[in-house]
Amino acid sequence: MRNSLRRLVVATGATVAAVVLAAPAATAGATAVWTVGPSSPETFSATATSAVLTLNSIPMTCSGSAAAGTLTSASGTTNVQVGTIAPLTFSGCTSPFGTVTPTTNTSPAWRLVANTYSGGVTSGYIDGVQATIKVLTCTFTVTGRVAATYTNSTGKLAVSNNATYKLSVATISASGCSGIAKVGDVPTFTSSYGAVTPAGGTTKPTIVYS
Amino acid sequence: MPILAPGVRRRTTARGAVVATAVLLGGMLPGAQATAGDHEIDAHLVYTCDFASGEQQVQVGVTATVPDSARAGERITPTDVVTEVTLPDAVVKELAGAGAVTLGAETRLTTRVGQQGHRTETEWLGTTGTAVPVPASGPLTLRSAGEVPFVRPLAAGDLTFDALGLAGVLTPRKADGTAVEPAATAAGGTAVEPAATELACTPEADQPTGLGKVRITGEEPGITPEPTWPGDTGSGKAEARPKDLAAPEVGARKEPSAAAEAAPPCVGDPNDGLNMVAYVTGYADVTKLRSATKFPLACAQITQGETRPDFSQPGFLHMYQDSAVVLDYQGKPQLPPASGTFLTFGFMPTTAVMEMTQIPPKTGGDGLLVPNIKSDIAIDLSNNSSKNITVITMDFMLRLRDVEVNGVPMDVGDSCRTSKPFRLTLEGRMTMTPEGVIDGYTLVSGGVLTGSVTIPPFSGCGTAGEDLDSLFTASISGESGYVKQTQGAPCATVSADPTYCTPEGQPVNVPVAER
Repeated sequence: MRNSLRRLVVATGATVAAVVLAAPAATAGATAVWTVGPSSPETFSATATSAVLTLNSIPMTCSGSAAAGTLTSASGTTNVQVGTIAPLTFSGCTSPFGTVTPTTNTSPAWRLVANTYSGGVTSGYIDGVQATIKVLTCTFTVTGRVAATYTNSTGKLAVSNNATYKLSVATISASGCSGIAKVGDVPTFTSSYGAVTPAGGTTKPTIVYS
Repeated sequence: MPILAPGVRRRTTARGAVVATAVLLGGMLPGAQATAGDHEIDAHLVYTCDFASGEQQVQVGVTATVPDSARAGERITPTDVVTEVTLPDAVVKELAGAGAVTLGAETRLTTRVGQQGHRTETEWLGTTGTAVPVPASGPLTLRSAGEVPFVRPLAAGDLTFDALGLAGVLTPRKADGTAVEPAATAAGGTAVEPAATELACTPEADQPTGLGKVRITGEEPGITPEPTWPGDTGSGKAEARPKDLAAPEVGARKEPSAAAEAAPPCVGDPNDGLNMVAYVTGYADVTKLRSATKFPLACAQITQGETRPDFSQPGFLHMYQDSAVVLDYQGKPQLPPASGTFLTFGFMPTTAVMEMTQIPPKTGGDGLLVPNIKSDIAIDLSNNSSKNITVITMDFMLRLRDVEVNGVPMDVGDSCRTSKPFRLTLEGRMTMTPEGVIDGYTLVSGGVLTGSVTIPPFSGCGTAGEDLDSLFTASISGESGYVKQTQGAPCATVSADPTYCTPEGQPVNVPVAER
């Protein structure tokens, strides 16, 4: 009964849906499923025109970022993997020191995980983030998770960090990082990617919880 | 009065000295420009170019600065000449597919110079200097810059510049710095062309090819076509005289800088985690000579210091970073020796090999070199914009040797040098917008540094009782001169990042001296 009601609400209004569907955990059961559209599995690509990593108040700004991956429907309620991301690249990156060249390690692929759903908006996180940044003789790696929110209507995947989903500096080079980065520092990453499916296509993918 | 070698004075008539001076210094002096204002040429054209994969349309932009007007007989030298060649997606994919990660280019734009129906041709050569990264797909714009020959109109009337053919060489390189090999031999044994090396382009028909014009006023009395086609700056390269004797005169073409090929060894210490190596080159104005002396491409060994964050200014994060730089030429702290020409007595052409030797920074109590590169990076925490100031100070001694006055050797001895060290202070500034757009110099990215230098008096010049100190002191010393140096992006030896380091651990980025 509740599932039927949910479908009806999804079809009739996002505002009402937000109220009814704010807690997908309440629907735990064998039938709970995260459905990606228009077909599953499907490839996707995503681009951003701005991405900022801030470490110890030092901004590193990229004028471009591009990602690709696969979306796949999956059953479950929370912490459900609905996609993978590989590769992900940055371009046009600068810092107050000058140009920087962040490189990502997407092997294994980063995982797009869904947690909650409300009115066509899926919230979750990206797991398995690994990136290396070089500034002068300082090389450091950042690993961890970023919070992710995907909005079906806009095709936008917004990423950021919060108290739950954090990145951290995992390694630094033997020298050169003094005053820039140290192990355990917590950088923040902010960007918004526009996604299309299939990769290079024009259709905004959808993620729907039911 | 200092003593000159016997015969020098006899052989040098005033007229002869002036002629020789003009020839010898022609390469150092800027072209005579009209005193009126300048204007910018900014033309966009479409060319068809032959590539290995076939003909492709290429967008070409040409920018330059020319005077609004000049008098007949005056030399006009377009400045800031840049040819931008935008390779289309197909060519970029072709390059990327062949394994190219960087691309350098030399371009040769044939330019028609016309005036009142008379015309001649000249060539505007340029180079990208630093190789640019090759994306997986295009388009890719190559910015090719260089000095170009002068033009001397012989009569009044509009002087026009038109673009003709465009040629050049593209140099794609792999991630390891090696050249992209020609494609594999095709079936049947026919060699396949390299991915893309030669650039041969013709302008599309039915488009304006005019680049710009300069208004020429007044006939220059007494100008008649000379019986032989003059060389440009005494380089010895004579050009074929055009058939049209009334056409504007053009100088010999300026070869693009061979800086990349002439880069001296510059290898860092892979066991030193703070070591970086960078190339630097530029010009110093010697005020008394009214000319600029080129500092040859030199290797700088840089020891990066720690970064000190400072939040004491409300709303700002200052990061102070102190490093140390020591020049490295065959293990010695000096610039590569360079031959220079200057005027003794204000008119006597004199050449000498100049050795600029750095007095390295002292070693501090911590065992590290006392920093001589000091950066203040100020980040505005309200919007993430930032401003950098980097100040580099280096102390030098300048030695002269292998001196010739008007072609006659002059023995100045082994100790003809400045009587005391002198300091070269250079400053580089950079701004970064909240969006991350940077403009200017940083130690990381390199860029232009400017400053000034004053050469002290000379001592120890001359042998067998001859005191030539005052000769050189009078010609060179005193009067502060403007210095403009360009530093390339350094290679952090320990990181061996192929963006910045060759497989041999040398800097990828070889800067080109700017005036």
